[in-house]
Amino acid sequence: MLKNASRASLFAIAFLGAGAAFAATHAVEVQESREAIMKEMGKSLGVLGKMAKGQLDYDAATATAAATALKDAAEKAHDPALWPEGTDTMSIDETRAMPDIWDNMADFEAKGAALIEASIAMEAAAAEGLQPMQAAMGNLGGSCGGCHKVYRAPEE
Amino acid sequence: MPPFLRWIIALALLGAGVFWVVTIPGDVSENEVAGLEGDPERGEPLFWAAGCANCHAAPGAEGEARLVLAGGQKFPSGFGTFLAPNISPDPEHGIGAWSLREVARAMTKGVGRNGAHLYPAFPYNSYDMAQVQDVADIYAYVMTLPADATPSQPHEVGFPFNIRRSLGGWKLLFQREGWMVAGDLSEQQQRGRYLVEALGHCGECHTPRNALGGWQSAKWLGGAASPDGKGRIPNITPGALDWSEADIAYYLETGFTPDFDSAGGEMAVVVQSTAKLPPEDRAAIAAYLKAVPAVN
Repeated sequence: MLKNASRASLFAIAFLGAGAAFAATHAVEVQESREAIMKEMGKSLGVLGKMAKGQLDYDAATATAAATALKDAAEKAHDPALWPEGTDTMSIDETRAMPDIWDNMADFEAKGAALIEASIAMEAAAAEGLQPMQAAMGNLGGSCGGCHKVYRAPEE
Repeated sequence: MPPFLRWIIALALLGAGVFWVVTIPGDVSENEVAGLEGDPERGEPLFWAAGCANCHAAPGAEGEARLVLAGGQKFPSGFGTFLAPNISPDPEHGIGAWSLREVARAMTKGVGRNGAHLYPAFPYNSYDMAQVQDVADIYAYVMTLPADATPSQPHEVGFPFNIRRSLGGWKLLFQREGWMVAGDLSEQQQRGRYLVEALGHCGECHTPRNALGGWQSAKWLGGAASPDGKGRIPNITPGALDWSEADIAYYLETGFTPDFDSAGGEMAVVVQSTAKLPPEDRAAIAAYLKAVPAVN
Protein backbone atom coordinates (compact mmCIF):
# COMPACT_ATOMS: atom_id res chain seq x y z
CA MET A 1 0.00 0.00 0.00
CA LEU A 2 2.72 2.40 1.07
CA LYS A 3 4.67 1.40 -1.96
CA ASN A 4 1.76 2.22 -4.15
CA ALA A 5 1.26 5.60 -2.49
CA SER A 6 4.89 6.57 -2.91
CA ARG A 7 4.82 5.39 -6.49
CA ALA A 8 1.74 7.50 -7.08
CA SER A 9 3.34 10.56 -5.55
CA LEU A 10 6.53 10.02 -7.54
CA PHE A 11 4.42 9.79 -10.62
CA ALA A 12 2.53 12.93 -9.65
CA ILE A 13 5.78 14.83 -9.04
CA ALA A 14 7.15 13.73 -12.39
CA PHE A 15 3.93 14.67 -14.07
CA LEU A 16 3.82 18.11 -12.44
CA GLY A 17 7.47 18.66 -13.22
CA ALA A 18 6.93 17.80 -16.84
CA GLY A 19 3.91 20.12 -16.86
CA ALA A 20 5.96 22.99 -15.46
CA ALA A 21 8.74 22.33 -17.95
CA PHE A 22 6.19 22.24 -20.74
CA ALA A 23 4.67 25.54 -19.58
CA ALA A 24 8.09 27.20 -19.45
CA THR A 25 9.04 25.98 -22.93
CA HIS A 26 5.67 27.06 -24.20
CA ALA A 27 6.09 30.53 -22.68
CA VAL A 28 9.44 30.98 -24.42
CA GLU A 29 7.99 29.75 -27.70
CA VAL A 30 5.13 32.20 -27.42
CA GLN A 31 7.54 35.00 -26.65
CA GLU A 32 9.65 34.08 -29.68
CA SER A 33 6.60 34.14 -31.95
CA ARG A 34 5.67 37.57 -30.65
CA GLU A 35 9.15 38.86 -31.26
CA ALA A 36 9.18 37.43 -34.79
CA ILE A 37 5.91 39.24 -35.54
CA MET A 38 7.29 42.50 -34.16
CA LYS A 39 10.28 42.10 -36.46
CA GLU A 40 7.98 41.51 -39.44
CA MET A 41 6.23 44.75 -38.54
CA GLY A 42 9.57 46.52 -38.30
CA LYS A 43 10.51 45.32 -41.76
CA SER A 44 7.31 46.63 -43.35
CA LEU A 45 7.55 49.86 -41.39
CA GLY A 46 11.12 50.23 -42.65
CA VAL A 47 9.92 50.22 -46.25
CA LEU A 48 7.11 52.69 -45.55
CA GLY A 49 9.20 54.90 -43.30
CA LYS A 50 12.16 55.13 -45.65
CA MET A 51 9.83 56.19 -48.45
CA ALA A 52 8.17 58.71 -46.15
CA LYS A 53 11.57 60.12 -45.19
CA GLY A 54 12.75 60.26 -48.80
CA GLN A 55 15.47 57.63 -48.31
CA LEU A 56 13.73 55.32 -50.75
CA ASP A 57 11.81 56.24 -53.91
CA TYR A 58 8.08 56.07 -53.47
CA ASP A 59 6.38 53.33 -55.39
CA ALA A 60 2.67 52.70 -54.86
CA ALA A 61 2.81 48.93 -55.36
CA THR A 62 5.75 48.39 -52.98
CA ALA A 63 4.26 50.73 -50.39
CA THR A 64 0.86 49.07 -50.50
CA ALA A 65 2.41 45.61 -50.23
CA ALA A 66 4.35 46.74 -47.16
CA ALA A 67 1.18 48.17 -45.61
CA THR A 68 -0.67 44.92 -46.26
CA ALA A 69 2.15 42.89 -44.70
CA LEU A 70 2.01 45.21 -41.71
CA LYS A 71 -1.74 44.71 -41.37
CA ASP A 72 -1.29 40.91 -41.58
CA ALA A 73 1.35 41.01 -38.86
CA ALA A 74 -0.84 43.24 -36.70
CA GLU A 75 -3.68 40.74 -37.06
CA LYS A 76 -1.40 37.87 -36.11
CA ALA A 77 -0.26 39.77 -33.03
CA HIS A 78 -3.88 40.28 -32.04
CA ASP A 79 -4.36 36.53 -31.45
CA PRO A 80 -5.08 35.89 -27.73
CA ALA A 81 -3.13 32.60 -28.01
CA LEU A 82 0.03 34.71 -28.21
CA TRP A 83 -0.71 36.37 -24.89
CA PRO A 84 -1.32 33.59 -22.35
CA GLU A 85 -0.84 34.19 -18.64
CA GLY A 86 2.68 33.55 -17.43
CA THR A 87 4.45 35.21 -20.35
CA ASP A 88 5.22 38.56 -18.74
CA THR A 89 8.46 40.06 -17.44
CA MET A 90 7.87 38.43 -14.05
CA SER A 91 7.69 34.96 -15.59
CA ILE A 92 10.30 34.91 -18.35
CA ASP A 93 13.53 36.84 -18.85
CA GLU A 94 13.37 37.30 -22.58
CA THR A 95 10.24 39.43 -22.75
CA ARG A 96 9.51 43.10 -22.20
CA ALA A 97 5.75 42.48 -21.96
CA MET A 98 4.70 44.03 -18.66
CA PRO A 99 2.33 42.26 -16.24
CA ASP A 100 -0.05 45.25 -16.59
CA ILE A 101 -1.19 43.72 -19.89
CA TRP A 102 -2.98 40.93 -18.05
CA ASP A 103 -4.56 43.36 -15.58
CA ASN A 104 -5.95 45.44 -18.45
CA MET A 105 -6.60 42.88 -21.16
CA ALA A 106 -9.57 44.75 -22.66
CA ASP A 107 -7.50 47.92 -23.04
CA PHE A 108 -4.57 45.95 -24.42
CA GLU A 109 -6.83 44.38 -27.05
CA ALA A 110 -8.33 47.77 -27.92
CA LYS A 111 -4.81 49.11 -28.49
CA GLY A 112 -4.02 46.12 -30.70
CA ALA A 113 -7.19 46.81 -32.69
CA ALA A 114 -6.07 50.44 -33.08
CA LEU A 115 -2.87 49.19 -34.74
CA ILE A 116 -4.87 47.08 -37.19
CA GLU A 117 -7.04 50.10 -37.99
CA ALA A 118 -4.01 52.32 -38.50
CA SER A 119 -2.49 49.69 -40.83
CA ILE A 120 -5.69 49.54 -42.88
CA ALA A 121 -5.65 53.34 -43.14
CA MET A 122 -2.02 53.09 -44.23
CA GLU A 123 -2.91 50.58 -46.94
CA ALA A 124 -5.28 53.12 -48.48
CA ALA A 125 -2.88 56.03 -48.02
CA ALA A 126 0.07 54.12 -49.46
CA ALA A 127 -1.87 53.40 -52.64
CA GLU A 128 -2.97 57.01 -52.92
CA GLY A 129 0.39 58.74 -53.03
CA LEU A 130 3.51 59.83 -51.21
CA GLN A 131 1.99 62.73 -49.32
CA PRO A 132 -0.99 60.85 -47.88
CA MET A 133 1.41 58.07 -46.95
CA GLN A 134 3.71 60.49 -45.13
CA ALA A 135 0.73 61.92 -43.30
CA ALA A 136 -0.46 58.46 -42.22
CA MET A 137 2.90 57.60 -40.60
CA GLY A 138 2.18 59.74 -37.56
CA ASN A 139 -1.03 57.94 -36.72
CA LEU A 140 0.70 54.61 -37.24
CA GLY A 141 3.57 55.60 -34.96
CA GLY A 142 1.03 56.72 -32.38
CA SER A 143 -0.66 53.34 -32.41
CA CYS A 144 2.69 51.57 -31.88
CA GLY A 145 3.42 53.98 -29.06
CA GLY A 146 -0.04 53.37 -27.61
CA CYS A 147 1.07 49.95 -26.41
CA HIS A 148 4.76 50.61 -25.95
CA LYS A 149 3.97 53.56 -23.72
CA VAL A 150 2.26 51.53 -21.03
CA TYR A 151 2.86 47.84 -21.68
CA ARG A 152 6.50 47.54 -22.78
CA ALA A 153 9.17 47.54 -20.09
CA PRO A 154 12.16 49.83 -20.68
CA GLU A 155 15.37 48.30 -21.96
CA GLU A 156 17.74 47.28 -19.19
CA MET B 1 23.97 81.76 31.37
CA PRO B 2 27.50 80.73 30.50
CA PRO B 3 29.01 82.88 27.74
CA PHE B 4 29.54 79.95 25.37
CA LEU B 5 25.83 79.08 25.58
CA ARG B 6 24.99 82.64 24.67
CA TRP B 7 27.23 82.32 21.67
CA ILE B 8 25.59 79.10 20.59
CA ILE B 9 22.13 80.61 20.86
CA ALA B 10 23.26 83.70 18.96
CA LEU B 11 24.77 81.57 16.20
CA ALA B 12 21.66 79.40 15.99
CA LEU B 13 19.47 82.48 15.66
CA LEU B 14 21.79 83.88 13.04
CA GLY B 15 21.67 80.59 11.17
CA ALA B 16 17.89 80.48 11.31
CA GLY B 17 17.79 84.08 10.11
CA VAL B 18 20.09 83.33 7.18
CA PHE B 19 18.03 80.22 6.31
CA TRP B 20 14.87 82.31 6.43
CA VAL B 21 16.29 84.99 4.15
CA VAL B 22 17.92 82.72 1.57
CA THR B 23 14.85 80.52 1.30
CA ILE B 24 12.39 83.36 0.64
CA PRO B 25 10.43 82.37 -2.48
CA GLY B 26 11.38 84.25 -5.64
CA ASP B 27 8.99 86.51 -7.45
CA VAL B 28 8.06 87.95 -10.82
CA SER B 29 7.50 91.70 -10.56
CA GLU B 30 4.31 93.43 -11.66
CA ASN B 31 6.47 95.31 -14.18
CA GLU B 32 7.52 92.12 -15.94
CA VAL B 33 3.94 91.21 -16.78
CA ALA B 34 2.50 94.73 -17.10
CA GLY B 35 0.72 95.25 -20.39
CA LEU B 36 1.30 91.68 -21.59
CA GLU B 37 -1.60 90.28 -23.56
CA GLY B 38 -1.68 86.52 -24.08
CA ASP B 39 -2.48 85.27 -27.58
CA PRO B 40 -4.10 81.81 -27.42
CA GLU B 41 -3.38 81.07 -31.06
CA ARG B 42 0.30 81.74 -30.62
CA GLY B 43 0.11 79.83 -27.35
CA GLU B 44 -1.07 76.55 -28.86
CA PRO B 45 2.24 75.35 -30.38
CA LEU B 46 4.06 76.71 -27.32
CA PHE B 47 1.76 74.64 -25.13
CA TRP B 48 2.80 71.51 -27.02
CA ALA B 49 6.44 72.55 -26.91
CA ALA B 50 6.17 72.92 -23.13
CA GLY B 51 4.58 69.48 -22.87
CA CYS B 52 1.96 70.60 -20.32
CA ALA B 53 -0.50 67.84 -21.24
CA ASN B 54 2.16 65.13 -20.85
CA CYS B 55 1.92 65.39 -17.07
CA HIS B 56 -1.29 67.33 -16.39
CA ALA B 57 -3.76 65.32 -18.49
CA ALA B 58 -5.66 62.72 -16.47
CA PRO B 59 -3.97 59.29 -16.15
CA GLY B 60 -4.34 57.32 -19.38
CA ALA B 61 -5.95 60.20 -21.32
CA GLU B 62 -5.70 59.85 -25.11
CA GLY B 63 -6.50 62.10 -28.04
CA GLU B 64 -8.82 65.01 -27.28
CA ALA B 65 -8.96 64.00 -23.63
CA ARG B 66 -5.34 65.16 -23.32
CA LEU B 67 -6.68 68.72 -23.50
CA VAL B 68 -8.48 68.28 -20.17
CA LEU B 69 -5.73 69.20 -17.72
CA ALA B 70 -7.41 67.61 -14.72
CA GLY B 71 -4.18 66.30 -13.16
CA GLY B 72 -3.85 63.09 -11.14
CA GLN B 73 -0.89 61.39 -12.83
CA LYS B 74 1.59 60.02 -10.33
CA PHE B 75 5.35 60.52 -10.54
CA PRO B 76 7.23 58.27 -8.13
CA SER B 77 10.76 59.29 -7.18
CA GLY B 78 13.33 58.76 -4.47
CA PHE B 79 11.85 61.71 -2.58
CA GLY B 80 8.26 60.55 -2.66
CA THR B 81 5.42 60.42 -5.17
CA PHE B 82 4.33 63.64 -6.80
CA LEU B 83 0.80 64.04 -8.14
CA ALA B 84 0.25 66.45 -10.99
CA PRO B 85 -2.32 69.07 -9.99
CA ASN B 86 -5.35 70.27 -11.92
CA ILE B 87 -4.29 73.18 -14.17
CA SER B 88 -7.52 73.36 -16.17
CA PRO B 89 -9.40 76.71 -16.30
CA ASP B 90 -11.69 75.67 -13.44
CA PRO B 91 -11.61 78.70 -11.08
CA GLU B 92 -11.81 76.62 -7.92
CA HIS B 93 -9.80 73.48 -8.62
CA GLY B 94 -7.73 74.64 -11.58
CA ILE B 95 -5.90 77.86 -12.39
CA GLY B 96 -8.81 79.81 -13.86
CA ALA B 97 -8.68 82.49 -11.19
CA TRP B 98 -4.91 83.00 -11.29
CA SER B 99 -3.37 86.26 -12.47
CA LEU B 100 -0.73 86.18 -15.19
CA ARG B 101 1.82 87.26 -12.61
CA GLU B 102 0.96 84.25 -10.43
CA VAL B 103 1.20 81.90 -13.41
CA ALA B 104 4.56 83.37 -14.44
CA ARG B 105 5.82 83.12 -10.87
CA ALA B 106 4.80 79.44 -10.67
CA MET B 107 6.26 78.52 -14.05
CA THR B 108 9.54 80.41 -13.88
CA LYS B 109 10.23 80.70 -10.14
CA GLY B 110 8.53 77.58 -8.83
CA VAL B 111 6.29 79.40 -6.37
CA GLY B 112 2.65 78.49 -5.84
CA ARG B 113 -0.28 80.85 -5.61
CA ASN B 114 -0.14 80.67 -1.82
CA GLY B 115 3.49 81.82 -1.92
CA ALA B 116 5.01 78.44 -1.00
CA HIS B 117 7.80 76.78 -2.95
CA LEU B 118 6.76 74.17 -5.50
CA TYR B 119 8.58 70.87 -5.88
CA PRO B 120 10.99 70.70 -8.79
CA ALA B 121 9.01 67.76 -10.21
CA PHE B 122 7.37 70.77 -11.87
CA PRO B 123 10.09 71.80 -14.34
CA TYR B 124 10.43 75.47 -13.34
CA ASN B 125 14.18 75.16 -13.45
CA SER B 126 13.71 74.78 -17.22
CA TYR B 127 10.80 77.17 -17.66
CA ASP B 128 12.91 79.77 -15.84
CA MET B 129 14.45 80.53 -19.26
CA ALA B 130 11.06 80.93 -20.95
CA GLN B 131 10.08 84.37 -22.24
CA VAL B 132 7.28 85.94 -20.22
CA GLN B 133 5.36 86.63 -23.43
CA ASP B 134 5.41 82.90 -24.19
CA VAL B 135 4.15 82.15 -20.69
CA ALA B 136 1.32 84.62 -21.26
CA ASP B 137 0.45 82.97 -24.58
CA ILE B 138 0.51 79.46 -23.11
CA TYR B 139 -1.72 80.60 -20.26
CA ALA B 140 -4.12 82.25 -22.74
CA TYR B 141 -4.31 78.97 -24.67
CA VAL B 142 -4.82 76.86 -21.52
CA MET B 143 -7.75 79.13 -20.64
CA THR B 144 -9.48 78.10 -23.89
CA LEU B 145 -9.40 74.41 -22.87
CA PRO B 146 -12.20 72.59 -21.01
CA ALA B 147 -12.55 73.30 -17.29
CA ASP B 148 -12.56 70.28 -14.99
CA ALA B 149 -13.56 70.24 -11.34
CA THR B 150 -11.39 67.32 -10.18
CA PRO B 151 -9.65 68.43 -6.97
CA SER B 152 -5.83 68.28 -6.98
CA GLN B 153 -4.39 65.49 -4.85
CA PRO B 154 -1.70 66.12 -2.23
CA HIS B 155 1.82 64.87 -2.94
CA GLU B 156 2.92 61.75 -1.08
CA VAL B 157 6.17 63.10 0.28
CA GLY B 158 7.59 62.28 3.71
CA PHE B 159 9.83 64.14 6.14
CA PRO B 160 12.08 66.10 5.58
CA PHE B 161 11.08 66.72 1.98
CA ASN B 162 7.60 67.79 3.05
CA ILE B 163 9.02 71.00 4.53
CA ARG B 164 8.37 73.38 1.66
CA ARG B 165 10.69 76.02 3.00
CA SER B 166 13.66 73.69 2.52
CA LEU B 167 13.03 73.89 -1.22
CA GLY B 168 14.37 77.42 -0.97
CA GLY B 169 17.68 75.81 -0.06
CA TRP B 170 17.34 73.45 -3.02
CA LYS B 171 16.83 76.40 -5.31
CA LEU B 172 19.78 78.23 -3.78
CA LEU B 173 21.99 75.25 -4.53
CA PHE B 174 20.61 74.07 -7.84
CA GLN B 175 18.72 76.83 -9.62
CA ARG B 176 20.21 77.20 -13.06
CA GLU B 177 22.04 80.32 -14.14
CA GLY B 178 21.61 80.93 -17.84
CA TRP B 179 21.88 78.56 -20.76
CA MET B 180 23.48 75.15 -20.32
CA VAL B 181 25.00 75.29 -23.79
CA ALA B 182 26.63 78.65 -24.42
CA GLY B 183 28.89 79.80 -27.21
CA ASP B 184 28.37 80.33 -30.91
CA LEU B 185 25.09 78.84 -32.02
CA SER B 186 23.29 79.39 -35.30
CA GLU B 187 19.87 80.97 -35.22
CA GLN B 188 18.32 77.53 -35.69
CA GLN B 189 20.40 76.04 -32.88
CA GLN B 190 19.38 78.90 -30.62
CA ARG B 191 15.74 78.19 -31.34
CA GLY B 192 16.43 74.54 -30.59
CA ARG B 193 18.15 75.49 -27.36
CA TYR B 194 15.11 77.49 -26.31
CA LEU B 195 12.86 74.53 -27.08
CA VAL B 196 15.06 71.90 -25.40
CA GLU B 197 16.43 73.82 -22.42
CA ALA B 198 13.43 76.01 -21.59
CA LEU B 199 10.00 74.97 -22.86
CA GLY B 200 10.65 71.30 -23.72
CA HIS B 201 12.44 70.71 -20.39
CA CYS B 202 14.23 67.70 -21.88
CA GLY B 203 17.03 68.03 -19.32
CA GLU B 204 14.65 67.26 -16.48
CA CYS B 205 14.71 63.56 -17.36
CA HIS B 206 17.73 63.20 -19.66
CA THR B 207 20.27 64.83 -17.30
CA PRO B 208 21.52 62.83 -14.32
CA ARG B 209 20.89 64.29 -10.87
CA ASN B 210 22.93 64.27 -7.68
CA ALA B 211 21.77 62.80 -4.37
CA LEU B 212 19.71 65.91 -3.60
CA GLY B 213 18.06 66.04 -6.99
CA GLY B 214 20.16 68.81 -8.58
CA TRP B 215 21.35 68.52 -12.17
CA GLN B 216 24.86 67.24 -12.77
CA SER B 217 25.44 70.05 -15.22
CA ALA B 218 28.66 68.62 -16.67
CA LYS B 219 26.58 65.67 -17.89
CA TRP B 220 23.86 67.79 -19.51
CA LEU B 221 21.49 65.47 -21.42
CA GLY B 222 23.92 62.61 -20.81
CA GLY B 223 21.28 60.10 -19.72
CA ALA B 224 20.03 59.19 -16.26
CA ALA B 225 18.46 56.52 -14.14
CA SER B 226 14.69 56.67 -14.38
CA PRO B 227 13.33 58.40 -11.24
CA ASP B 228 10.84 55.57 -10.72
CA GLY B 229 13.76 53.15 -10.57
CA LYS B 230 12.79 51.24 -13.72
CA GLY B 231 15.30 51.35 -16.55
CA ARG B 232 17.40 54.21 -17.87
CA ILE B 233 16.63 57.38 -19.75
CA PRO B 234 19.04 57.56 -22.69
CA ASN B 235 21.99 59.83 -23.34
CA ILE B 236 20.92 62.15 -26.17
CA THR B 237 24.21 63.99 -26.61
CA PRO B 238 26.37 63.26 -29.67
CA GLY B 239 28.34 60.95 -27.34
CA ALA B 240 25.62 58.32 -27.73
CA LEU B 241 22.93 59.52 -30.13
CA ASP B 242 24.35 59.09 -33.62
CA TRP B 243 21.08 59.65 -35.49
CA SER B 244 21.03 62.25 -38.24
CA GLU B 245 19.18 65.50 -37.64
CA ALA B 246 16.47 64.30 -40.01
CA ASP B 247 16.13 61.06 -38.01
CA ILE B 248 15.81 62.96 -34.72
CA ALA B 249 13.17 65.28 -36.19
CA TYR B 250 11.30 62.29 -37.64
CA TYR B 251 11.35 60.51 -34.29
CA LEU B 252 9.83 63.58 -32.63
CA GLU B 253 7.15 63.65 -35.32
CA THR B 254 6.15 59.98 -35.52
CA GLY B 255 7.88 58.15 -32.67
CA PHE B 256 9.84 55.95 -35.09
CA THR B 257 13.53 55.37 -34.51
CA PRO B 258 15.82 55.00 -37.56
CA ASP B 259 15.33 51.21 -37.17
CA PHE B 260 11.56 51.68 -37.06
CA ASP B 261 11.20 50.58 -33.54
CA SER B 262 8.79 52.94 -31.77
CA ALA B 263 9.12 55.24 -28.80
CA GLY B 264 7.99 53.69 -25.55
CA GLY B 265 7.35 54.68 -21.94
CA GLU B 266 7.22 58.36 -21.07
CA MET B 267 8.83 59.27 -24.38
CA ALA B 268 5.83 57.93 -26.30
CA VAL B 269 3.78 60.48 -24.33
CA VAL B 270 6.28 63.23 -25.12
CA VAL B 271 6.12 62.42 -28.83
CA GLN B 272 2.33 62.92 -28.75
CA SER B 273 3.16 66.56 -28.01
CA THR B 274 6.25 67.07 -30.20
CA ALA B 275 4.20 65.63 -33.10
CA LYS B 276 2.09 68.79 -32.86
CA LEU B 277 5.02 71.21 -33.22
CA PRO B 278 5.72 73.06 -36.45
CA PRO B 279 8.27 71.02 -38.48
CA GLU B 280 10.88 73.77 -38.24
CA ASP B 281 10.78 73.50 -34.44
CA ARG B 282 11.53 69.76 -34.55
CA ALA B 283 14.39 70.47 -36.95
CA ALA B 284 15.67 73.14 -34.56
CA ILE B 285 15.65 70.68 -31.64
CA ALA B 286 17.65 68.22 -33.74
CA ALA B 287 20.15 70.93 -34.74
CA TYR B 288 20.64 71.92 -31.10
CA LEU B 289 21.15 68.30 -29.97
CA LYS B 290 24.05 68.06 -32.42
CA ALA B 291 25.64 71.12 -30.81
CA VAL B 292 25.46 69.79 -27.22
CA PRO B 293 28.85 68.73 -25.77
CA ALA B 294 29.21 64.95 -26.06
CA VAL B 295 28.85 62.96 -22.84
CA ASN B 296 30.43 59.55 -23.05
